[in-house]
Amino acid sequence: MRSMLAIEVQKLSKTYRSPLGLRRHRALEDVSLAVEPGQIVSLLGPNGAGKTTLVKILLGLLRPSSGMARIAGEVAGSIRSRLQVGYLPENLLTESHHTADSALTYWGRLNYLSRTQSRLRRAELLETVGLDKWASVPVRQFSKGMRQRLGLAGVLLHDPAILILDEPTDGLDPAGRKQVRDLICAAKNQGKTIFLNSHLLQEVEQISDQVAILDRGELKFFGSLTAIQQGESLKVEFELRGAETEARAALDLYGEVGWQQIDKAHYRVLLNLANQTAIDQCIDGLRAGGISIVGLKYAYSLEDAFLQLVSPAKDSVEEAG
Amino acid sequence: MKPYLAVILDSFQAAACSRILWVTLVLITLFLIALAPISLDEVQEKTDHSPTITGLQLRYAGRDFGPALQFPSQTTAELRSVALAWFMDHIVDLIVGFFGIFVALIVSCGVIPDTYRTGSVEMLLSKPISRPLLFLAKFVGGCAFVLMNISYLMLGLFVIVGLRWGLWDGRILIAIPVFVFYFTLLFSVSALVGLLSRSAILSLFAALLFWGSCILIASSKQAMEKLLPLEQATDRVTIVAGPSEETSAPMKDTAFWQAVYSFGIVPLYTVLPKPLELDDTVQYFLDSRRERKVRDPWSPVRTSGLFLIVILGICCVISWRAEY
Repeated sequence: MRSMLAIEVQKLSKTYRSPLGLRRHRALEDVSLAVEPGQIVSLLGPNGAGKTTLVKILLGLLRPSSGMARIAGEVAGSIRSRLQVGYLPENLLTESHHTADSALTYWGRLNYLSRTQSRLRRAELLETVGLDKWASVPVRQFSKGMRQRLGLAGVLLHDPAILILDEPTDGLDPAGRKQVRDLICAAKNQGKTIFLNSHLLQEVEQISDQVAILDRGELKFFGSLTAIQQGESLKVEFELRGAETEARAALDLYGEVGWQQIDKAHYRVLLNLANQTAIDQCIDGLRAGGISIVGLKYAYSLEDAFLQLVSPAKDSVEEAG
Repeated sequence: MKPYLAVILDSFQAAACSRILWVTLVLITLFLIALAPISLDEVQEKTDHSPTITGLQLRYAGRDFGPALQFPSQTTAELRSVALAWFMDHIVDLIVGFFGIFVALIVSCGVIPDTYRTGSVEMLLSKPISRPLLFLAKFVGGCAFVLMNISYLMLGLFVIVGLRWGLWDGRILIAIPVFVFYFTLLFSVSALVGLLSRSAILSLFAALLFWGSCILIASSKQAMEKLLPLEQATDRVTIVAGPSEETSAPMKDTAFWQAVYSFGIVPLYTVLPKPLELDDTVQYFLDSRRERKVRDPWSPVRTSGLFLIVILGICCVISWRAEY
């Protein structure tokens, strides 16, 4: 029976060889991951980690050296698999003779949509990405952000089940980024799977359900955002108001990591706690001491986790033989 | 076929929006306007009873253009046909067969490299379309643009020749498929190099170099056939191959060129397309008296067509196997 996974990758490896085969570069090594439908999965990694290689294998632009990749149960790169996918490249070059309207019609036709279907969908999508007033303007007059938004409309045009987006917010202003994030979340709410390749960890943190971290071709982590943020212990940041002596007494048991005075009787405290029970006990102790808890958040960011998993860059080119 | 038709139409749209199409159409129109004053008038000699037609005079805006064509033994219709063949051979061949093809190569050299450039090809190949068919659709798009321009030019010539010369000869239009085929041969080489290098300049340069090579090989073959005693070529080559010390120096020299002819020029000529001979194919159909010595008018079309199929086949395999 065919897998119902949106994306399935098993022991995928890719080695680039120089034309004479004297030099080789291992871009991916035994990468395995499985993405359930309806998830937002972010692919993270430093430059040269193999992110683009993985995305290109999923699209059939590159052939794997070994292993297997499937999209919606179909072999990655096959025409059937590509019918299920909408792909937005990092630096989309739209041919300069197109307007937003004609580009969408063209992309629609490439996805087997009729002119009428394309026309109906494009008006709706251009409005969604905020380009409805630019429909008849040649794309050569578009800014990079506008081209990205047009590309996003093109990706959604044929209503694919899986979106593969390569740096979709690159070149966008904060408002544009929020708009794209909202679009991605809206697509998720429609049951689409989104595979996101991004450098912007804060953005990934805001919208992702799962993250995959690649480093020098190896998959260092694949799992939920919560799992990676928690690590082995929970790093929790409290913002407290109250007497300092009472607060210190309440937190004495837990081994304080950082203490920052914001103003009189107002502190920010960083603690390492073993689990959720420890957090609950800590809160009880603070409340018993008459301390107000103004704020509480996990202090271990995705960035911390990422930097811990990813080793400093090193040349991975090896001599053959 | 929907996506592939969209690719072909998009190539057209690209040409139309880049103004190349309009510039070319304007240039063709100007050329046709410039040709319109050419007339082919009968030269009459007045005798006692009635005027006798002795020939035809080519005139440009009422002025004589060269000496009159005088073939008393032939009918006027035959003379007009000869004049048309001359016109096609000297004027159309030069304009379309050289300048037209040259401009068409410049215009179309970017079609394939632009399609396969980074940032553009990834989006295209992520669509549910076949790679070889995408390549072929782009190729046909490039050829369709040229087909349109050549058709406009030849239809214009057909009307001018009909109105001004009184010769409504549909055979002129055979030049449309032949010249498009001629262009297609060179464009296939341009497309192959464009696919490999993704450079418009390199693909244009390669096509021009290839064009020159084809003409050089064909011309060399013709020249050698006139200069060398080819009937004895095989024997002479055997002499050179053997260690005969009695062979004289001039004989060795001739044998060398015969070897070049037999083992270099002929194989290359056989394999390469034959643009010069394609002109002869057009002429063969235009010359009703079949004065041209064309043994088999379809032979250059067949061998060139085989070359085209092989090159396009290689392109399809490359585009299918390539990693982007």
